[in-house]
Amino acid sequence: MTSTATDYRSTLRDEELLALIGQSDELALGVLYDRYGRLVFSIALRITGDRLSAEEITQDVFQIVWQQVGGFRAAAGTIPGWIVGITRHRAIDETRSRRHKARQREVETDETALEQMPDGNGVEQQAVMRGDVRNALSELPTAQRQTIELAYYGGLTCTEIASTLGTSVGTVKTRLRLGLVKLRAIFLPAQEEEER
Amino acid sequence: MDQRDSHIDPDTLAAYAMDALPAGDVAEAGRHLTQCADCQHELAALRAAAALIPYGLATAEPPPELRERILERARQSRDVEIARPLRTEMETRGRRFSWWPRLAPALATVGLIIAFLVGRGWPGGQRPDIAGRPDVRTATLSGQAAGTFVVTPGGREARLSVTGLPPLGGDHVYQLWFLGGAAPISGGTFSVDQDGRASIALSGIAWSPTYTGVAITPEPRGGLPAPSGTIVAHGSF
Repeated sequence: MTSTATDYRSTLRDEELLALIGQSDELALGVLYDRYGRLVFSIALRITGDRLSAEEITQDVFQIVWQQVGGFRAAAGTIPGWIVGITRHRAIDETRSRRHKARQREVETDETALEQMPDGNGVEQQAVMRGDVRNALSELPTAQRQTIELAYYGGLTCTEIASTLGTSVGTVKTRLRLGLVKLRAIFLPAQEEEER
Repeated sequence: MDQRDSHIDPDTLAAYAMDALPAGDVAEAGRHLTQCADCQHELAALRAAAALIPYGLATAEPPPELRERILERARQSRDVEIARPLRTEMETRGRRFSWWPRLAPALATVGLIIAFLVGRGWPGGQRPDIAGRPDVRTATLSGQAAGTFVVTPGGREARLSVTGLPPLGGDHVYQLWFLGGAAPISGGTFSVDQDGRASIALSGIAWSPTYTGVAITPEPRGGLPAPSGTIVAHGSF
């Protein structure tokens, strides 16, 4: 991945980069890619299992950011959350399409609601977060982790997961909650610190 | 579910945060969420947790040339006129009417023209109508409301005409969404007049020819980047 360390843009916050992207500054898009390109590609690869598809999705995601930067509102989420949300849904769509299961999404499902996550300005911060998340996920019981992965990366509903794992819908929901509660503990201390 | 006294079951809310609820349950939860600040707060926290999940992935390295491909595509599209969602509060018929008294002297001098426009009545009377053009795409809206969304190729001009939408309180507006992309894209927010009508001429919308339809949801004033309310009208091209 090309470094843009000499460019002043690399010191800007995500919000400032987005403002420049809104002015059609493609170098700002490059910096945003440097920050989140690997994450986007990794998610797309994990969901599709195919590098070519992951490349295509990564291109699409940053093109969406480029063209539709006005669609982001800070009040409703963070920029990495927005980018990850676009990536996930685009990749799940791609997978469903490839499997000829491109059932048109029911517009009522609100599947594309904005995802939020703690701000992740900077690659270093992402690295710390990766370590914390991996630790948290590794401590989950296998069934819990599997359930979360089927929902998040597979885009499956509780009913579909229950059928896949041979368990009840209620159990699936509980596993999802317990897994999220565990992940939530990662950033709760930081939030509490900020609120003091 | 009692919208006032009870909350969404925590397990169900977690599934909602993971986009794992079946459509029917999503609609029910969505109705409650529009009215329950506590559940909205809890949902935001759960979604924040869910959004951490991909950070647990082993990092995959994209090919080095991908960055340049992305920037080249951006450069190319910069030269093409790309519609962006610049308008946050779209013009409503009622709002336009509120200007008429101030324009009265001018209107008096062009009485015949005004008479013609008024005579045409809602929804097409205020501006030149694009609906009759042969190259437009039209989505006929259904659901709680009726109407049409008409857009010219490239999205340079568009018009939303809708009727049957109940007026919302001061804290909420309706938001138009373009469907068919990776995620619904906001087309802007709008209000309806006391009769539940809006006829809106749009420009500078975030239009893509790949969109397959439109939808309208009630959202907090100012709109959201992604829909949270129940769809009250939708239509396909």
